[in-house]
Amino acid sequence: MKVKWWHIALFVFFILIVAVVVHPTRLRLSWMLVKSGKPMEAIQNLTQIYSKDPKNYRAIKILAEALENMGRPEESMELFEKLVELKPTDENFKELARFYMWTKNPAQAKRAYQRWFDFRKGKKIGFTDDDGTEIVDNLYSLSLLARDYKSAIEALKVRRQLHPDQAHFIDNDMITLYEKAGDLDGTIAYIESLLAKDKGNVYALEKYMQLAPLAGKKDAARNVLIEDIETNPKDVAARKRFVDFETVNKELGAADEWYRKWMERSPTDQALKKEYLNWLLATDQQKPAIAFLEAVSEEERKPFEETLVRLYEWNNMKEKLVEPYIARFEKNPNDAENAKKLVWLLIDLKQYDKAETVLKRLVELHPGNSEYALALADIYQTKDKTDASIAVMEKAVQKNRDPKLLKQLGVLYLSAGENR
Amino acid sequence: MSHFKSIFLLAVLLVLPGTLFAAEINRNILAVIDFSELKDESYNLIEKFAETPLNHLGFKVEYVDVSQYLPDDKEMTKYAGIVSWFLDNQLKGAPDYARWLTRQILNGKKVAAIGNFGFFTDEKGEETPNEVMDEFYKAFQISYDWHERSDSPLLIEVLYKDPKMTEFERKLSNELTNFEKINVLDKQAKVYLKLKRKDTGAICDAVFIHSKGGAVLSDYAIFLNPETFESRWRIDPFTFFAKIFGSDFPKPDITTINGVRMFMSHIDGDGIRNISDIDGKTPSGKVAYDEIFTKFNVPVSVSVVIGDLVLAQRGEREALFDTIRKIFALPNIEPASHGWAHPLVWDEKRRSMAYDLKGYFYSPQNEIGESLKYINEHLVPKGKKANLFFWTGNCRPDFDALKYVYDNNIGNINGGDTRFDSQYPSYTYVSPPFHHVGGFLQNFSADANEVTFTNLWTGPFYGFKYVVETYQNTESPIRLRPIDVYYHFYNMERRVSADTLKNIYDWVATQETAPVFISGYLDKLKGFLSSRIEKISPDRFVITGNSDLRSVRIDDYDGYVDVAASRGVMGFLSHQGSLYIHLDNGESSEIRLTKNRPATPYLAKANGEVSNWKVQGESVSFDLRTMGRLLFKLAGTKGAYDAVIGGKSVTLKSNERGEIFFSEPLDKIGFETVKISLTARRGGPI
Repeated sequence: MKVKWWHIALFVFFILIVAVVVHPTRLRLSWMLVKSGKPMEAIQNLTQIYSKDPKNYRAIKILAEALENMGRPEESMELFEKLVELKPTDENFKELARFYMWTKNPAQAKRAYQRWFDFRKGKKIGFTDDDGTEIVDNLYSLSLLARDYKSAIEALKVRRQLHPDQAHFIDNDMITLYEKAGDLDGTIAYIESLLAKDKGNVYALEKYMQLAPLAGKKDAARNVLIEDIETNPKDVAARKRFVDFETVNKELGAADEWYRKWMERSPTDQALKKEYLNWLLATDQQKPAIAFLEAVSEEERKPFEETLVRLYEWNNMKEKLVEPYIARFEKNPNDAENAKKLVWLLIDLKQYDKAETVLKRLVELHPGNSEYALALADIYQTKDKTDASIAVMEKAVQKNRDPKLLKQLGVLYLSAGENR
Repeated sequence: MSHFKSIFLLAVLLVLPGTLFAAEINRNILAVIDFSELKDESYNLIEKFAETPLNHLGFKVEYVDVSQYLPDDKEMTKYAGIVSWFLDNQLKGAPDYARWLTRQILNGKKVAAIGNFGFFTDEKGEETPNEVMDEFYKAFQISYDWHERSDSPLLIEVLYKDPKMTEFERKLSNELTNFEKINVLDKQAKVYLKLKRKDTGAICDAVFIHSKGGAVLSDYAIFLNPETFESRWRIDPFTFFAKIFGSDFPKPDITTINGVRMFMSHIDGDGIRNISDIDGKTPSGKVAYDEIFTKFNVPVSVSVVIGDLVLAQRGEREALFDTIRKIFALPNIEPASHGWAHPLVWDEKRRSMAYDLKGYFYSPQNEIGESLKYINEHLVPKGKKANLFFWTGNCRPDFDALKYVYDNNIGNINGGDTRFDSQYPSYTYVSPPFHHVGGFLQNFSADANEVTFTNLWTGPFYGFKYVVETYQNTESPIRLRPIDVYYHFYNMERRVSADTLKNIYDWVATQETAPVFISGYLDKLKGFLSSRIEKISPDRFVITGNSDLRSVRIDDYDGYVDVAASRGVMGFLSHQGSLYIHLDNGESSEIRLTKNRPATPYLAKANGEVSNWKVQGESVSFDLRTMGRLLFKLAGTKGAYDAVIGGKSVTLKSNERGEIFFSEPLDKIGFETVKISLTARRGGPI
């Protein structure tokens, strides 16, 4: 076969095609150098390509990675930034966000995730894949750190769509975000929307009862709480929520009225009575608490006897204290604290006969006790029974040579005209 | 006779001045915890957050689970105060604890209550009786009304704040997330954060310090990112605890030797056999030998895993033995064990091993004792002995492992992962030096290793470079930790990570450091625990039992030490508002503070242990043991001195501040003791 000119031309053309395909471009060569562990040479090549063509995003990408792999992330930062400007793709945004996470720069990482988030929303890509989860999770946590609640709310809205099973928790977190953002109207509107969907959302309900009065919706909140009680009449927490609401809003009378209504309905509910008493005490309504305890049956009062005595003490209701002090004394005459309180109370109330009886018993039990002996002697003196007074003191000094006793005895002798 | 008695008594009083009135500083703080709250150790907020500042202030922390045990009054005499930081308000035996705490307050114990008081209800939800709560409120001098609680930032506003105390690392803006109507009744109290409920007008003293201690309401001690649990201090814990428990005494310091920051380095044995990518054939252990241990004159405490030797193939094994023996033979290397089979998880119930070795079963003896025995019998040269164990895997040794190292007097370290950098810009990430395990103390390493910077060694492999930020942030504004360059053998697998490590060592070389082996650091930790400090008067202290810890620190002090009147004190250095005082190796030292600068020579700083310190008139002589660089500064000097330093004669001149500074590299690899003497020029000072 005779070789014709076009045979030669075809051959040359074929060789040229092969050469173009097989022969590495400078860019490809740089990439190969990076992969074969010669980053320095690659960086030199890529820098030259980049300086000639600053929009060559492929060169920028390889150069950024090569510099980072060499431990020079400071130099690659600008390149990663440029890359997403020139070629905003999922892959490049991911690289930018990763870069800032790896270089311990939370503020820039948040910015990168925000841009990636906005990019995906703009392109309607969605967030159901792994990258989507990464974006939402990191944007949310970094926004909380940076107090950027607007971004955090946006991220959380997407998370709610992704995880409908976690909607309840996410809704509650969302309330907190609106609150932190300082948006009262937005918070109220959001809570109302939640309660409209689910009246049993206790977190939302509790927030509503706190915030509604601030937004001028106190009555609306009260109605929601009453509805809650009526729907769940046995729910103690619902009852307490209502009482708390009225208490915080200084509507003690209203709360008291409700308590009485409930007690009327359930007269044997001891826990309710205890709860009411605790509420009275916690809100410093001591007189009503006393009245309540005095009104209940003896049996019901029994567990609260100590509390009642304390209330009498706090309110200086001396006459009321006599009986319980005597009861305690009879139960345990060796309770020195109670005995002293009782004696001084009886003396203070001028109930000398009772005081004499108690002190006689005490002197018998503690014959050397100077305080009791002196007190009994005083009682006798008050009753003009000097002889009895002297007898008590003489008995006491036999057991105790306390100078106070001796002195008092001396005084008694003198007053009796004796010169012993 | 009575005349002689009087003279004798007078003489005794003159001979024993002051010491008769000495009172030991009580450095023990009781941390009360509810063990049932702790799902894992990270829930122990006192150890996680509070122990670091408490330790820095010189206090030792002990823990008690108050749901199980309440120490009696006799036992409580051991403690200077109480810290609580409960996660919730439910506690088994809540009324008993409330009564106990009330009693401690009445007995004069200061209480720092952070977060929840912890005892509003018992474990069944039964409320603590009102009268018990009232007794507590009365004793703690507060009033409290639980009806006014709120967690809504929309309802809470700041009436007053002291930003220095309450916005230490993070501002309060938008994060007023807790209101409880707690009001301090003590008129002498200092309230640092006062909040108001917008709707009810109720007032809350959220952060306060008073005569009974102090309290911080939940959410105002630290910020916790609810998503990631990243943390920041809100209060300044150093000031908070110092104001409650007192701070006007010399604190044993674990960071410093003779005024210079301690520097150590240690390596875990993992990856010693891994072939390095640097040349594709050399094991990482050999690369470390060639490029690090023989090139940088720094102390490195090197550990190996015996399992690596067991699993090495024939040929590889001989080379590995050779490399390890050569490493351990270097004078700048201290040998240590990183286990036999390298437990990944130490806890008995979940225990797992990195190496599956035939015939091996776990016991502290096999893992710790036998590995050290093997190293000493086969790998270390004569004159050296391995007696250190670097905890492996999750670095959470159980009670038995800890007991074993204590029973056998083996040094232990690792765990903690201290960070303080741009990713974790907070003292909340600076771990305490100790971790408590059933009465024993695990020593945490002073800094994190490369694992946390490289996402468990998945990249970035240059990430370890950021550890320098931690070294910088734990030096200034307060020196909180020494420098510990801590890494693994596998760090030498890659060029970039090996170069990063070299850059870190290069950075360390630009700093003034006092090099020590890990064992040296552990000796300081022991000294921290054993030191006793007696206060004779506000400017006179006696230190005993400090063992190898020879540096004590007085904070916020702008005076000097009267070196001539003191005993066992070589000198001092003012640094960042603190006075670092250098003790000699005597059994007892007496520090006398003064407002006047000493006129006689004293040691301002030296980058190693100093012995044979002598000052005679204007002349000074001492021995300085250090590595890599000889650095010292003398103060109180005048004019020129004929000096002999390591046998070489030189002339040293005082500067206008009366200081002589000397710094020169040392050629010899390893620690060297250099004899130094300075004699004032004849004819007196020039």
